[in-house]
Amino acid sequence: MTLAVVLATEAVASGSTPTAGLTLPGGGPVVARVLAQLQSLDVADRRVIARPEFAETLRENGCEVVESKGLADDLREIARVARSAREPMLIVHGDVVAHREVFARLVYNSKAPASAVVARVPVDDDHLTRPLLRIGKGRIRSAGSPYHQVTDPNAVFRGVVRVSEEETATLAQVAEKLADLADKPDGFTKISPIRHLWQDPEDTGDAEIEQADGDYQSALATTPITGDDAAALLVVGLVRSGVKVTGRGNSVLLCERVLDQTQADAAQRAVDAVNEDNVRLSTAVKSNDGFFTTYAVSTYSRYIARWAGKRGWTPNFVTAISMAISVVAAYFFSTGQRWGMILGGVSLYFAFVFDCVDGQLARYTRQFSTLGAWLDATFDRAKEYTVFGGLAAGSTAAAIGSSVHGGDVWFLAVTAITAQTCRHMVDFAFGASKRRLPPEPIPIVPLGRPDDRVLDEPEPTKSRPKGSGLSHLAVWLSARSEKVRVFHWFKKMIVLPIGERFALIALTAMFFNARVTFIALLTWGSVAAFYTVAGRILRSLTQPRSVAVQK
Amino acid sequence: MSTVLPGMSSAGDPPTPANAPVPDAELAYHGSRLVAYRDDGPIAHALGRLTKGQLPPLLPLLVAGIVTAILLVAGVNGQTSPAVFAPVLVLLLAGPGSTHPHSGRLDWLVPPLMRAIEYGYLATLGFAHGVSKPLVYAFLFVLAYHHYDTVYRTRQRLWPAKWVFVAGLGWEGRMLIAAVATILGKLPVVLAVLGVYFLLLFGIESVYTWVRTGTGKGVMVNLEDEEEAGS
Repeated sequence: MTLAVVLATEAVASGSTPTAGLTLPGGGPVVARVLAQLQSLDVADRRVIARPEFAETLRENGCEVVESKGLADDLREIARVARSAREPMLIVHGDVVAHREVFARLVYNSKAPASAVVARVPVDDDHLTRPLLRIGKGRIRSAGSPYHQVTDPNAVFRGVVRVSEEETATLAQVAEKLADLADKPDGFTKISPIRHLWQDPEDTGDAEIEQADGDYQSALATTPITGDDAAALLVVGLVRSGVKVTGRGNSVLLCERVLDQTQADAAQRAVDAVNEDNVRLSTAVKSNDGFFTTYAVSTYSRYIARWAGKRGWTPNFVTAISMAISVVAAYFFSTGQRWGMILGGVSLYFAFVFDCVDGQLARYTRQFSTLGAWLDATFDRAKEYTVFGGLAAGSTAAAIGSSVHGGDVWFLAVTAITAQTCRHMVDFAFGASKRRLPPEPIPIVPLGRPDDRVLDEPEPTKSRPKGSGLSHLAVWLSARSEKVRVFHWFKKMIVLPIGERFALIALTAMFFNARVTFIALLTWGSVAAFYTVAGRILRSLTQPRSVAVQK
Repeated sequence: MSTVLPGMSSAGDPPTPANAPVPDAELAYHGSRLVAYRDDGPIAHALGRLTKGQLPPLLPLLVAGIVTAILLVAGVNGQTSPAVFAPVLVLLLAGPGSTHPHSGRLDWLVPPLMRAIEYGYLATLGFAHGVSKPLVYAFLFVLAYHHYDTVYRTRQRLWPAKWVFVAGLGWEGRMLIAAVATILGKLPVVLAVLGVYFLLLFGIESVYTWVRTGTGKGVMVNLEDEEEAGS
């Protein structure tokens, strides 16, 4: 459950109507749609804050409105709500036109202490219409408002921020402090929004953001914000209080404030131009899968996932189907006949397809469960090792002299299960041993301070090995080679990921016999083991010798 | 037994705020995962308590691996061939390190090495002493299930109960029993009985635990972190 505060405090330039009351083509004011979208996402508690002169218009549209005379009152009302909130809070401008999916991701998929919807756009000094941000190392490092300058900005704020349950108390404090500053005549000082220091326009930080494009976008964000922007100030407040605020953005989905009728029309067209379901489906496909999975399975498995989702299948049901198919594959392999080997290979391929479908279905329909995560992982292993058993049994069962007969390969099957388990243990143990020190805290900056100079860092160094010695060089080389596509896929394939393993088993079994399958697995697996273990030993040696923080 | 799984206490703790400098619990939690992956039994753990966690685990284990390989090569076929003494040596070398926090830079090599020694030893002994080959495979299948299950649980912060590690006898218990069975000439029947026992123990306990907790809300785990090899 989430609680939403909707701000309808901005007026169109003529001053007579709220921007939240702008009419969208196809009917209804902007704010009504925002509220409807939130309602459809189980955001039961929705409060609208508006200026008294607009309150009537909004009430006519069926909103329950809290009247507020100015910025300080807006902030105090938010502080009041935040103090008693026992759930995550969304703070949304009432004039935001967004795809429902933007809100859905914030409501259902957000785990960060706080997240702001942002866009990575080129910051043009002459058209600074939106609050600026600097994003780096996975968080917003500096945030802007009319009273807060940002050094070397690389993104803009799009008017929506989510604060987790744990941080609502901080939100209340921050809102209270900002309200006090807004009340004082000299509390806030206007300042030029931008300052250039080391600006590298290519530096997007490591935010998951790309530049929005599309024909309609040029009409958007052209009008500057003139009214009070409590949401932007709260982002400033949270960031400057040391809260980790992450920037969430998307190159396809729209989320933009509309400040006049032209923009409202353009925004609606931009929304209509995108098929939200397709966006959801393509993000349900993991982005870092292996080569075989990406090109021979994920190209179409998403449509099976969508079909399964429409039929109401659960991910666990799909996992069970996949397991059942691989048991069938193991049975076919154990027949010791050529037709059995071919059918077994084909079945194994489809077992793998459904193995990908279950995860995609889970992400597409947002059905995650502890049991599901376990079933998926455990059955992946069970499938593979069951098939090993089937292959070994078939090799012995096959008629002597037939091309399927590989002799007694149980020894190879035992070697393969041992080697594969050890390789997995390397992955698990290496993953578990990574030192996850909390991110370096960013300095706390007083809210009344207009500039953010205390955050200045020395000029960023160009990429080159950090330390000296073989291990540092290897880590640097590894990072550099990621940028070349061929190397990227080579590095993915050399470790023999699950897709490649299943393909290798299926193909060698179909065309040769179990002996060839096991020898191929063991050969490729040895190369993979050498590559990963050597690489990780070198990587570990670049780490500091002892655990950094011990009291 | 209190230090078998130091992470157990931290499993239910609320997540620490991002800006609070309290990484100790988190670090201990990750180190303790490595300790859980070792799958020590009661004897190895008793040896570990003697050293009070002061002995680094990796180097003695490497030596144990080499010693095991040499003994297996030196002779495995007879009832009293050199290989039957390997478990005692491995236990003496690797057991005392079981209580170490596994905080060294390369200590992630310990769990895979442990599995290589254990599986390799049991399989070689089984093949040399007339155990049915599919049975050897099935036996390793059951052990692998347990070891994967431990990993997948800790990822969801559901720690296996201590008694499971005791009842599972640990790597040292399984290797010692196999060696004694070899000396007595009863390895095939002992492996069959143990296999069924472990199948029931690990299978029922794990399915029971998972189904019981499965209805709870899922933790979205960042598996990418741990599966650089694409699983």
